[in-house]
Amino acid sequence: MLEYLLSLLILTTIWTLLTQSYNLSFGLTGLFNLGHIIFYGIGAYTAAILNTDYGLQILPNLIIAAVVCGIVAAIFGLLTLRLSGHYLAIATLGAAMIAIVVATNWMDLTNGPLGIRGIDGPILFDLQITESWQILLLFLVIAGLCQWTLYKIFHSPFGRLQRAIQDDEIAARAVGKNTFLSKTWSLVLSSAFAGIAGAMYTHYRLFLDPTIFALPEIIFLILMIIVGGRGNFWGAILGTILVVIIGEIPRFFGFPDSIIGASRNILFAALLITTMFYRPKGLFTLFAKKAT
Amino acid sequence: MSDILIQLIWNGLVTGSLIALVALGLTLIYGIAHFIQFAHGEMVAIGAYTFMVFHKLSAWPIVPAALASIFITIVIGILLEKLFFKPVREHDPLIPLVIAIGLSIGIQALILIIFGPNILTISDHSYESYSFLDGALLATPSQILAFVFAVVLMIGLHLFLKKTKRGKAIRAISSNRSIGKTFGLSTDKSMMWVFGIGSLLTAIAGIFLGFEQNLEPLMGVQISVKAFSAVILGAIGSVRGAIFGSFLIGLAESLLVGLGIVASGFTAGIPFVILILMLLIRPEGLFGKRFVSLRQ
Repeated sequence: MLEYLLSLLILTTIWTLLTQSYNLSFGLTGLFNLGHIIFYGIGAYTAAILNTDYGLQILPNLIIAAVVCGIVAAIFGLLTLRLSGHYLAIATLGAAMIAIVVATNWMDLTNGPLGIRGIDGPILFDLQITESWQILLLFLVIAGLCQWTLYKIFHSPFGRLQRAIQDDEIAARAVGKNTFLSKTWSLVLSSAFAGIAGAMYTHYRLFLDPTIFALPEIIFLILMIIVGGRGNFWGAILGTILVVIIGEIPRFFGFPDSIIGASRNILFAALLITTMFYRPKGLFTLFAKKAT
Repeated sequence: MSDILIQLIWNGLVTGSLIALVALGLTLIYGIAHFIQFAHGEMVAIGAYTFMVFHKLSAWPIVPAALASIFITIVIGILLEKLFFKPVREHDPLIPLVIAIGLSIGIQALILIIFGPNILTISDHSYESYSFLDGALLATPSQILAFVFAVVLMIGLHLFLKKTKRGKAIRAISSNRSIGKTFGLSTDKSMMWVFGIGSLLTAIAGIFLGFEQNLEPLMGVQISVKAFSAVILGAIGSVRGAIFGSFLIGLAESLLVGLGIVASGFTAGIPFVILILMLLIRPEGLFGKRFVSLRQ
């Protein structure tokens, strides 16, 4: 029971970082990019490959994953950020579909559908970390640092510019801001943090296959950010925690294994739809004193 | 060589027709309601599963079973609009889109709970393929019917939108809702018709898809992601564009894989590679108007 709770906490820590990174590009800048999961996946694969083929450990992997994701995001942004609205959404959803196809078929790099096994757990300066609570502590520190950086970004002039772009891009351009460049930067930073979350996931799960890019993951991510409240720093955290808790409910009702996943999805669907009906800005508004 | 080419083109046309049946509903709904109906693919699955219930489990003949399944799908489509999309009609288009995503996972989960995760067949019979052109072309009856139905329905839809009063009202509301209202057109009625027509088309696509492949809870997703890219490819909201995009994707998949240009494992990526390449050249879609702002 304790192990289960710890593993849930570790995953929540990782997912909170992933949601927060998505909150930067989707919530703050308003890019409806359905392909954010690509960067989580690329970060995860980068760490897995660096670890199994080159023997690098978690700390360098986190940094390299962030850099790789940032570079890929810059290219991705140049290709897609000219689009807007639903065009951007479907083109980026398509990019995620392409990512899963590539990860499944590029056997040399990703070992295809068989996945990559035998990844090392977190090793800090030759010190192997095996206990779950130690991993949780380490991940809380790493994710905490990232969250703090994201918080600073959210409340910096750069963050306010992103919010302005979401509200009225033409007005932001009219006061002399290069909005295309700012949007690309937002995407690059957001993807770099997603890459870090992906690398953490790899070093915790120790196994990786192409389903990390799949549609259910994309929907799960959208769920976490929409339910909590996009564009609000605390909303992303609230959303992730809430979704994790609600997702665990069916386990405690003794449903047969075959329908646990399905009953969870029904709960998620209900959660998403009720949130949209009654709190379209997200559930953080329940706690906020004034609407932001 | 030419033999296999004919067969591949035929297969591509059939796939294209099925995609088009889904894409037409999507593009009509986008045109009038301005959001991507993410759960539209689930209507395919509803059509196929209800047909299976009537035809295979209750042993009805094909035609009444198909009519019943189409009827039920239409009712469900209209109900979804009334219950879930109508209340948020005047909101930011992101909200109905997110609701549609919720409906999509909810309906998939319901199908999974009711029918189980296993792959089912739509009918106990198997039908002989017909052979044409001295055996150069093999076509199953369901393929021929799917193609004929798709073409007839496309022409019918075109005539409906251009010639009938109701079709003209739908186009008027699509192009400007508030001016349409001023002229006494009912948005509610037009929405109902559009969701009804969309569901009718997807139910038919679902039945044929069930004969072509098999039934599984996620069957709608596979075809709807292709339909999304077909719709965007042709310029979202455009009927001609959706038809063109669907056939382009169907033919490209069949030819690129069949002629060995692309390995079969990469099939699922083809529609999106075409889509992204096209958007780089013409971000407004093949049939979109230039110089029109794409901002929502």
